[in-house]
Amino acid sequence: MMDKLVEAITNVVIEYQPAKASMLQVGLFTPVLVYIARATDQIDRAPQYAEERVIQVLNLLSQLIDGEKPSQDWILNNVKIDQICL
Amino acid sequence: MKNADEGVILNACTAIEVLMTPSSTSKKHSGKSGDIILENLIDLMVRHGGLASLSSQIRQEGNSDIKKAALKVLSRLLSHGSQNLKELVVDEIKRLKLVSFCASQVERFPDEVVDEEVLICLLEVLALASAKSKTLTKYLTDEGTINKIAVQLTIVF
Repeated sequence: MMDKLVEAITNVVIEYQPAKASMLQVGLFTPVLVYIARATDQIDRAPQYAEERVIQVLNLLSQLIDGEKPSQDWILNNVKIDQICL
Repeated sequence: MKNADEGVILNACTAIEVLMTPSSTSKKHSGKSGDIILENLIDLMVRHGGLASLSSQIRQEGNSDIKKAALKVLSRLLSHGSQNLKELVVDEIKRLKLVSFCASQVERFPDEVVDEEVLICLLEVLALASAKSKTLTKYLTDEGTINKIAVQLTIVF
């Protein structure tokens, strides 16, 4: 189900910029970033952290913040960016 | 699919789904002719009321296996075919208001009609439809459906 949820949201935000703003409002960034942080340690060690799935979530994150300054600022203010860069 | 017998409807949907699934073997052997057959099949479905029949099976509440099978056929219709055919499929989906119906079903999850398997089929249809139409993505955003999908994702994470 996770893959289909990620795919549906990704396809909508790619096509329609205003959808990106609402994702910040529903609080999607915190669980996405927690998932990515966990995935850096556990990639391919458990089905939920399979490489392909992690790539899909990273793609979702990059689409969510593409051209969306409030979301970019939220991440910069709330996340140690070096944790993701690792 | 217009048959009154549920077994016949289910088998018809499953047969169409299989026919619309290009296997690697058939593609290897038939190549371009396989694509043409697939395109003709989609064309037949669109021009002869196939989508309206699918729509009525997706909207029924009695048999979730039929609902899932019909949603899978709809996904196949959205995944294959030329750009012109895809536009025909999307136009027909808009005319039948199938996206708004699928969106309303996502909001019902979880209940006795929309279980996890049905939800996955609904999400696949919404994902494929929104990848091909800005109107539909705008609709999903304005109606708040995308927010509800995002909330489901936060739960799954």
